[in-house]
Amino acid sequence: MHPCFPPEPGSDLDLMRAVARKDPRAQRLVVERLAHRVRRLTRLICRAAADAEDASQLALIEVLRSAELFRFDVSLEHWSDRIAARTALQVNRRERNRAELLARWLTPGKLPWGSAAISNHGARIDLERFLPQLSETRREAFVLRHALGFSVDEIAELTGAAPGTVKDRLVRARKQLRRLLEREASRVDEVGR
Amino acid sequence: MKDSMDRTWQELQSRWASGEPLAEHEERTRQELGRTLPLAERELAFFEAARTTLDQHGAPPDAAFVQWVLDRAKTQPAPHLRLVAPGERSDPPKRRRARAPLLGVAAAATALGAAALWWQGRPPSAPSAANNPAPSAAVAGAVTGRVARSELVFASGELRIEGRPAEVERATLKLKDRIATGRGRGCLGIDPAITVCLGEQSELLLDALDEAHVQVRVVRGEVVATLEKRRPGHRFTLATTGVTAEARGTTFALRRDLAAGTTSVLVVEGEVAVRGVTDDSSSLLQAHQRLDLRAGAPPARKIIGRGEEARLLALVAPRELWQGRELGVLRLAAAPAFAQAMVDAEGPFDLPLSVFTAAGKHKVTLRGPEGDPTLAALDVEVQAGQVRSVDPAAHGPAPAARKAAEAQKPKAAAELLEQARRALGRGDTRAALRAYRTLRKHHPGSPEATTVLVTMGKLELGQGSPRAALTAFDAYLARGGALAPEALAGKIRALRALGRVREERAAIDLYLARYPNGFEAAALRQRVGQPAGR
Repeated sequence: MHPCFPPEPGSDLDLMRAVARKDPRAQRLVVERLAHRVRRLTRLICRAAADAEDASQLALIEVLRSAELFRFDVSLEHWSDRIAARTALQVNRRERNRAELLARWLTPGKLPWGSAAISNHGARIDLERFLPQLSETRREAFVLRHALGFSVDEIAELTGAAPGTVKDRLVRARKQLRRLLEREASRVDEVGR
Repeated sequence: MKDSMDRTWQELQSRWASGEPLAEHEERTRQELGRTLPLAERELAFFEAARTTLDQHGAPPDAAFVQWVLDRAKTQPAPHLRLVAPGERSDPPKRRRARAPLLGVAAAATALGAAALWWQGRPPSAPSAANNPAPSAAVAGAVTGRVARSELVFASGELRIEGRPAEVERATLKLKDRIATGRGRGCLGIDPAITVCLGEQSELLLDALDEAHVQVRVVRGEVVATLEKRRPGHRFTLATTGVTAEARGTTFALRRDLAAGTTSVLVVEGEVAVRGVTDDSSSLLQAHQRLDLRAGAPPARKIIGRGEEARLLALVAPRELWQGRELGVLRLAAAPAFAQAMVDAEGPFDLPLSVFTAAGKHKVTLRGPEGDPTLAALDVEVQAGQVRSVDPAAHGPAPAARKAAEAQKPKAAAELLEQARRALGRGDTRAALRAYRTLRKHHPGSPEATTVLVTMGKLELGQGSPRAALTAFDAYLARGGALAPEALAGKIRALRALGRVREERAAIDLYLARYPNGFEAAALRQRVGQPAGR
């Protein structure tokens, strides 16, 4: 006997159509579903935790506002990754030029919703230790390529750098990683002796 | 031996990490070395961790953060621009009264501008009162009286100024000059550091040429502007009936489709303020956004696709040719055997072509009608301050073999993706699937070749081919990536359609284990009779 199956599960497209209609339940569902991923991604791209939170917030608002543009040939996560990456890069650029901006609306040490500005995202220690050692441009290229899988041309377009420059940043980031691994290995050897 | 293995690893890994596709045997070697060399193994593990880091599930977001985002989303101002249809009355503008004196100031200042131009002794065609009418209300504002130099710097194919065929370096442009293209394109250089380019079948009018405010009016077609950051108080606007788009430093376009009655503002880089001329409403457009305006309809804000952005950037790409301090002019005449020319890596451009270009040697390749390969290549030296004219008719076509080889060249991955999207847009699923298969065949190592598998699976499912869909979803899942939840959900549907109930159940269990908060999770739990527990 066949089990009595309920109707076909709803798709991301249905969900985003509901968001576009300003359905509060759908909006909440989308923010809850994407919040962790978006915050994780912006934290990888932005150096400062406050910038990352700022970028996460803006990216999620943009996801809600652009819901009607969602197309069925990409997953919601993939689609929001692009929005979050663009937003985080914009925040990085903005912060490079106007470092004092956050001070205008953030109480030092507090995020707008009352949480402490330093938050632990439960990230993997290797990645978290490596990324702060990279320059901002190498860090951006590295995350876009290896965490998001963007092509060199896509990264060039997003960051405004020439494709050759992007490749160079990726190679140099990889060499830095190699040096870090070598240093760690020699430290382990010394401890072993 | 170990050193040589390490050298090979270093070389392959650097190439891979920089985004370069590796041949199949190279990728096999890289993986093998990654399993053999201890440091390489750690590096591979690191990159794998980076690849999957976004798929890790963490603690649920704190409720305060979610509520904050939802509250802010509600208070974001929505654009309320609208175009005024012919004959329709607009709402009375709030600051109309303040504009009248500004108009007077602007008119007076333009006269001053004309005087300043005469005093500076340039250009040869000094503007008269007749060709320097007062600017419209839309261009009223702070003016300096200093004229922004404007001239044609690139002309390809059919381009006319004031109805006459035009070439670069003939004359500078003046206020209210009208530039139009047929099957051709062109670019203007406006001081300081503004490039304005027209696409095919487009027309523009120089509305304001004050150093503090330059305005270009788009009469029809598509105009792209790219500019360096303006000094405070300096403005640049693209305008058309009812709308102005102002930027301080960016690349953006204004498109006016007379037949459809629509106007679009498209932003590639930076930010652009779009204003309704008649009702003073305004909206800020960010990079990669467009605003579509149609009379009597609310404005529609959309995201620009990569294909569209690439096309807009291609319109301003010729500016690479006139970078540098020492410039000359390159002219290529029309010739029956040739339709287009490339100059160095830029182009192809329709003939005739005239362009400012850096002094020095340039490689000019001549091609047949659109799509035809190179027929002749020549080195041309341009001297600073000189005009170098070349008659392509004096150069014969290349051997037919080269022509055939070029014709075999496969389409780029991005082009095939765009082809598939267009097919989907017109509902032609089969054509879309054909394009995706061609992409996978010709670009097997590209990231797109993997990503399209999920779309292919969905399309196959929609076509009633669950077996083909299952193959596509399985292929994606084997490679892994950000679309894995979607691919697994697709696999579940395909298995259901094939009646493979036990495998479907296993796939559902896998989905619920991996993505307990996934969008499909609630429905799948119901389907297998599990209590909903988030």
